[in-house]
Amino acid sequence: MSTPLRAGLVGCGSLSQRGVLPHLTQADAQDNVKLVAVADVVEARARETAQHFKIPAHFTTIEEMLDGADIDIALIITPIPFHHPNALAAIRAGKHVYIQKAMTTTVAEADELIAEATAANVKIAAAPGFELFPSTAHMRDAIRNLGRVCVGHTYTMGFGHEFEPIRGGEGALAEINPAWYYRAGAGPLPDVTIYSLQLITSLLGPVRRVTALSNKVQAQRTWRGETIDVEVDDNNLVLMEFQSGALVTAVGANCRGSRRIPWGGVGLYGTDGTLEILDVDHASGYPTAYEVTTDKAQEYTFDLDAQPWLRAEHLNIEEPHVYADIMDLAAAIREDRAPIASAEQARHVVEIIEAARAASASGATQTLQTTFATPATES
Amino acid sequence: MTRIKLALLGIGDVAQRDYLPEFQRLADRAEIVAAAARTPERLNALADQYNIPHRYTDYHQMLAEISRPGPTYADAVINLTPIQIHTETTLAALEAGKHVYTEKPIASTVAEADRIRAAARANGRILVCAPCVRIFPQVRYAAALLAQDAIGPVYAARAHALMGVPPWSGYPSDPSPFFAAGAGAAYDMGVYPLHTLTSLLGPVQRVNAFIDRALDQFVINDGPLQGKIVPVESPDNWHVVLDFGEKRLGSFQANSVVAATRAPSVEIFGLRGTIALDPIDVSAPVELYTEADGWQTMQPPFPIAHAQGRAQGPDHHLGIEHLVDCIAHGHAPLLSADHAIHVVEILEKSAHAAETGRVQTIENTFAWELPRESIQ
Repeated sequence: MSTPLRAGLVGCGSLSQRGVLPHLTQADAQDNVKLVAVADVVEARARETAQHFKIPAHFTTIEEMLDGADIDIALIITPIPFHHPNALAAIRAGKHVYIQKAMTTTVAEADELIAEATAANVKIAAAPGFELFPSTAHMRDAIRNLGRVCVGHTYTMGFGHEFEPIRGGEGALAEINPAWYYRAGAGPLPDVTIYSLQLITSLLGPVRRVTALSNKVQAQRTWRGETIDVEVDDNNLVLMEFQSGALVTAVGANCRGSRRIPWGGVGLYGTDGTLEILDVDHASGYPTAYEVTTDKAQEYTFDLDAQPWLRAEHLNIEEPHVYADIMDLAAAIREDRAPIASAEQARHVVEIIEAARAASASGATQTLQTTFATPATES
Repeated sequence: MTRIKLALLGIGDVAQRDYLPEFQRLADRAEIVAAAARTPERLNALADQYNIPHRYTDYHQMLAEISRPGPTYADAVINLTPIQIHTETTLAALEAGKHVYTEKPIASTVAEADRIRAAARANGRILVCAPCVRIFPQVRYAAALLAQDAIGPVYAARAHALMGVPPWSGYPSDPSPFFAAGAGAAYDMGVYPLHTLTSLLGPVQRVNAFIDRALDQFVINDGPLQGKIVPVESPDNWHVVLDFGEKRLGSFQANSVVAATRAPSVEIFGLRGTIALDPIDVSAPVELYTEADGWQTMQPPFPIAHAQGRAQGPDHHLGIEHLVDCIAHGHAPLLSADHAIHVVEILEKSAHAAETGRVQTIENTFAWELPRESIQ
């Protein structure tokens, strides 16, 4: 393999500690992408992360990192409201970027990142890229046998981060405050419902109109004895009309699951048949079993290693989909092609979330402006 | 004890399938003394089969005869006519001074349903409105589970009703009325999940919706009407979001564009668990998920007090028993016009929301509380 691409990671919180750093410090990953710097606004966390994962440089801002380290890729793993400023700084410095979900808090921010990346001739990969797991294309093919798909449901119930074991430990690498998940720009829609939205737009293509209802069930949460005021609505019901005509609901709420469809699953119902996801890999969110019922029921299953980047230890480390997204960005840079986790699709999903918030606040159904190219709308 | 006398108005599929075969359950408390239908052959055949003495092809004549003291007299009318004439027939029966049981929906519009409710009040008559899901054993059991806090605070719910994708191969008669203006999946079938959700969670406060018509027409593919083109005049794909207030949201679908689903018809989602049930089939299990015990499947009979009824399918006859109970004891019906009008308003306002793109407030409400019956 050629020289590894050099990456700098911004945001050393829970996701980085549990998932991104353990993946990227595996030997096979380092042949491809070498982490040369980390940054975190908490200086001790940046320093201890660099020590613990043997990374040569650490900083407290992306500007310092861009000045002080020679990188090809910036990995933006900060809380969602900081994705835009960090990604923008990296793009303007001529770096490729990987952006954790949700890409941004608004379409305007996503528009700016896409325009600046085009101008700077750099690539954006925006998570989560369901196209990287083969069940997505497989299901899209199966949908062609369902007749006209008019109705769908997605399920991502359950929301909360203060219970993650890593946040219960001692020291800068563990005392990671989850309060931002409950503040403006976050909440269950961009945190968990987004998996459903990315998956279902991969399967059905873009959305035309959105309406939604929402409310706040739990006004406060507790972490390490500290009270967190919940600012965002934590109970959301989103209704989407796809360009295909399908009417689909998505839930973002702290409820228990459905009898038939697992967390992260989708049910699609057509005039000639039904597709229901029966199992979802918990670490990645990738659908690993689904059933198509037309004249008879047929079940299809996938192992996590159906994703080619996921081998050996990567199958056991948390957040394997994040690793696959990053590896694909590196491959896209080498092959000079678009990353599979597309910024245009991520922007469209950001617009769905932004429209859902506007609809539930105003009571007015929203018509979307963005779209994206997808195999679901081709052929 | 004198038996309560009933007059049957309409003897179509639902009367033959769900009501008449079950009526012997009421034999010691009520009798059917009259029946009216437009087709004399079918009327006479069924009246012979079920020993109904007085038969009419004009329902106005039946109302006149059953209002007269004597052997033709009846206390109440069981209205099993098609949706499109519910208003006219129910109003006529109430104005003739009869108690009424009406099949669902009470009427196609809130304005018509309001007139019916006003006529019941003005004449001091009992009006029992189908669907009877609120007193179906599986719904009462789900309500009892909620009342004992089996799944913690409820945040969300979903429910669907599937009318089946046309053409309905093997359907024995003309399916056209189900797809005509004023009918369609929401009014014919959607009232079941809506009555279930509102029985379990109480009245809806706001709605928004997308409503489409996916099919314009279809061709009947078998039977004597093979080749007939049936226009789909009503929207065939309703997808509605509901705000029950008190931090509870719901989604509801009614359509004739879905071939099948293995998702439960109704699911109630709480902070600590989920309840899944089928609001129509009394033989279906109630399923309960809790964090402690995972999914448990409870088969009927459920551990609540209820009389032995039908073994499977919808037990609509419970509604007639409810009417007879209300007449005998002078009770106000639990299957109330208020509840039925609330559900019709949800459909009407959903259509308005879909047209305008604006969330709509529901104005007609109904008295609701979770039943305080104990699980045995």
